[in-house]
Amino acid sequence: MSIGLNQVLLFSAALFAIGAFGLVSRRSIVGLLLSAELMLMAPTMALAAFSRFGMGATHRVAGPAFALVIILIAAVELAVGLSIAMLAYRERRALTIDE
Amino acid sequence: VLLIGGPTSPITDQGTVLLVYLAGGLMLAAALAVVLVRSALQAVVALSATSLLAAILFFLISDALLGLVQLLVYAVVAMPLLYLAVKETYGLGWTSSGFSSQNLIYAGSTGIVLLLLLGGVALRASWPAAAAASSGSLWDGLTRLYVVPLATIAVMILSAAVGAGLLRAKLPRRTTGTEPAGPRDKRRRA
Repeated sequence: MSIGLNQVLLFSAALFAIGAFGLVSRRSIVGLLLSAELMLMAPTMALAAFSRFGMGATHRVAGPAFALVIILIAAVELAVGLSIAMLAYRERRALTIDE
Repeated sequence: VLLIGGPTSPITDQGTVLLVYLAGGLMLAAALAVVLVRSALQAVVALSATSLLAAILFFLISDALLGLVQLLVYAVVAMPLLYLAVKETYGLGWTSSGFSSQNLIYAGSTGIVLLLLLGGVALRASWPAAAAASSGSLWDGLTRLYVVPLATIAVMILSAAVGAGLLRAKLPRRTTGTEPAGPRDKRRRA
């Protein structure tokens, strides 16, 4: 039994699928943001796996460098998304996307 | 554990393989909890568990720097923001009634599992390994090979920070009266 690129990519794909399911099924803005966070976590894991197992990376720092960018973008997206959600809540007193 | 990069061969050490499968399975279970639970606070807690387990996975596949950044970003930025947002909107109704013994059992067993997992990772890792040289190579890579993405992300982060600050500053004051009730108000009336 060993861990290679395929196993980590499988985890990444499953995480992305769960996030996509949540993004489609949730009605709350907070739930949508949490699902988007899951979907952004998945490519970070895939990039780390490509870097670790040496598939397709010319430079060994390429995967982690872009993964760091994705983590920072996820944090920024969350901050802006929550600001918009708070604004919407104070305007409409609701946090669902269909109200 | 190298700070970044590492050998390209598959991981064959059976203890590490078991830990990777355990952390990955728990991470997927926590991610499922994020999208399936109804309480916003429970979803935030599940997301924090997911990010912690993802960081453990990064540690296990020899990307300690990514694991550290993941932990820092989610523990310092994301979770406090989410906690405050849920507190402002839903009102933390999940915790206002106190902890039941069942919740304590669940939380305790989850904490013990995570602690055992972290302990296993800590026992198998040699932490001081090659930290300075590897972080230097990452910085070189970012500043020489990926100057444009680095500049772009810096501008994006700055714009987002300014935009979020402006949005927060321009939020109207809460008014009372005829406006429709949110989840927190409904819970208070009940």
